Amino acid sequence: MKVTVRFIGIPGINVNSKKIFADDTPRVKELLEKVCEMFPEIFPSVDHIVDRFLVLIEDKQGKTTNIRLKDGLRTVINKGESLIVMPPLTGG
Amino acid sequence: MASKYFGYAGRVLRLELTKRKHVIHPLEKELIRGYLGGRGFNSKRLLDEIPPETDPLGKENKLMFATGPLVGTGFPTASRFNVSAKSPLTWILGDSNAGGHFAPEMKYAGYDQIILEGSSDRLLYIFIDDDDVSFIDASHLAGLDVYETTKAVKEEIGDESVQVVAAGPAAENGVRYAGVFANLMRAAARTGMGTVMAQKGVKAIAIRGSKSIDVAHPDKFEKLVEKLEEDIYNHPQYWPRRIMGTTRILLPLNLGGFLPTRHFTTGVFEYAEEVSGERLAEEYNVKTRGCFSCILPCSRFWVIRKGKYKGLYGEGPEYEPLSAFSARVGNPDIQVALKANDMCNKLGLDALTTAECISWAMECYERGWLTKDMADGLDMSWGNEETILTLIEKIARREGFGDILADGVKKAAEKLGFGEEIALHVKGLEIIQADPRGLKGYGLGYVVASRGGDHLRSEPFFELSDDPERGRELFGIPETALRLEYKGKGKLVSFFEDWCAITDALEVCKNVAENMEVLPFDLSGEVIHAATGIEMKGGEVRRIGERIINVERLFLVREGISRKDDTLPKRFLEEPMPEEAINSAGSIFELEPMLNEYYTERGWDLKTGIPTIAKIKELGLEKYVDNLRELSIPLKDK
Repeated sequence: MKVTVRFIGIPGINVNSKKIFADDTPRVKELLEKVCEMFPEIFPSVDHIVDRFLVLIEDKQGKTTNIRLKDGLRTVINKGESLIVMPPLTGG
Repeated sequence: MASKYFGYAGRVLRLELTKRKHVIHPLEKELIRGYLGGRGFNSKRLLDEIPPETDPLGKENKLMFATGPLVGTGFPTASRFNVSAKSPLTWILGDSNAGGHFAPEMKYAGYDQIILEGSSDRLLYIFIDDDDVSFIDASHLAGLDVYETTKAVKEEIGDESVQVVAAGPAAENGVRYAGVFANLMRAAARTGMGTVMAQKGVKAIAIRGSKSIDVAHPDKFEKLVEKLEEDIYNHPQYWPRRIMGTTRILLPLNLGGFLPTRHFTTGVFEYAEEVSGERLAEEYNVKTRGCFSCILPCSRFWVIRKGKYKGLYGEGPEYEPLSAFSARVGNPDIQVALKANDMCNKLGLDALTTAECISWAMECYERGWLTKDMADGLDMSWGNEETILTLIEKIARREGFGDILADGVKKAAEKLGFGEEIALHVKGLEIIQADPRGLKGYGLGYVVASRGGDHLRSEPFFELSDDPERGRELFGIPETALRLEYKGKGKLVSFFEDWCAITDALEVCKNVAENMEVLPFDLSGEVIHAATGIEMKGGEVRRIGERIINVERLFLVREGISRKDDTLPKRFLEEPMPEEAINSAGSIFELEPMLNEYYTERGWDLKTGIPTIAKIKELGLEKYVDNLRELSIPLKDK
């Protein structure tokens, strides 16, 4: 299946989103590994993403959940859900 | 402590405007030990020198500029100053903070604090050249905007490198939310400090210094500077902040459903992508610019290359004005937002308060309370470009409907006799661009902030971390890490308020020191020791932050502020976030339990919100107890 990964506020990525082809019901880890393959200079490893960025799962309605609050990298992505990767959010 | 001043310039300059004289006196060492600098110095001195019920625009009010012990050294981001007085907008503590290059020049000229007293019967600008102070006729500068004033003053002095703070025509016209602007666009905009300056008869202050700042332990200081620089460079937010500045948060706020849109009637803006920091960076930004001694140049020069505003250029904007002049007023065109922000900078207005006044009027129009006739024939529909830009000009000139809006949203509602329940302010200061129903710690921060509805007194960003385990570890309450939960937010906000008070006292950048978590209390103690020679552990540093918060609260209490004033507009307490704000839908602000927890954490009386005598004494402020009793302020022992 195709999973959309959106990137918000990450310099160096000049696209708002990327479609990733994966097996049915992939886990977050598998998708992030593909993200690392696409942008190795920005995301050298999955651990790097998890340590330094927020990874959110967005459902069909647009409701988001931080993967830390679900089950981390083991969480299964279902059809219609997408991933969002962005820097940790702080003040302005 | 040593007799020589390390870190500090060691002197205070008092400018007596009525007589056009000046006095220089030593910086009081008890002020250093108790309040560190900047905002701490100003708040303490305002409490001591401004009697209750002083008219903010009268001669008795004082306008104070202060900077901190790290400013003027190579310490990263130490470039800022606070400007404070009793506010003509809120009639409580007025205070604002800006970066740029003015503050280090103050130190090089030999001053930690500059105090403007009395008022001049004609318009002046003041030139401070080390120990020489000149009061110069500025009648020829009357009506000039901030840019024109800054340029004219530099030209007259004949030195492009002289540092200038200026007020614009809005301040001269008595608009109650006009700011003080350094380096053209570094705005100390909130609470009307420019208004106080202009009403004292001062159009600008120019400063030039040739002295230097000694630090107590240069080797240790240098190592700490290197550590901080490394921590900043390696931080995951370094590049996003460098490229987009604070505008990077616009899209995430929209995603979260708490981006104030059409005067907080919803939390999602359908044009968010078009007005985002990403869009600004891609299409308009030319280069970045930093404040003095900053390695994270987060301000950006932009230029509009095509369209109606072709050729317009400027610096910034920060998230707040960009978002306020787009989502808040319902405007989908980023160029209009840039133009509106540019106008506010030049006219010398607080962009946030201006945008609240305009969006409030638009909602009043939509509800049928305000008619076109009442608004000088302007079409007050959401996002109307002509209306937004015309009203900014009218407010600054106090013309027609602009005159009604020029005293702030609270007064506008009083004058018109409607719209009070949707006037979005706390204690008279218009609230910022984040919906408190979607960010409860921030909301509590607005409720209790000593200058009114503003986030920069606390910035409890930790609630955005979504990391309950860390919440339990740091605060003993997992919910502190979850933005939609209210539990633990009293504890969270009091911690972050103390931290912000320290960053404002050291006059380092809050975006870096606090938001990026690179300068916690323990490390601040190390830095203070290296710079000033004063031994200070982290706990003692935090205690100074707490003292500053309490001194400011006492100033407010003397002006009649109590628990009844620590609240939010009805909209946030009674109207749940609408369904389309998916990630915040249904959320409402639970004021009472949060306030109880906050007062308990602070050691303030639950019934009145006034610091108890035990807390006042614990902080070494016992000399104020008799004064408060004389004013019949109800004080509880504990």
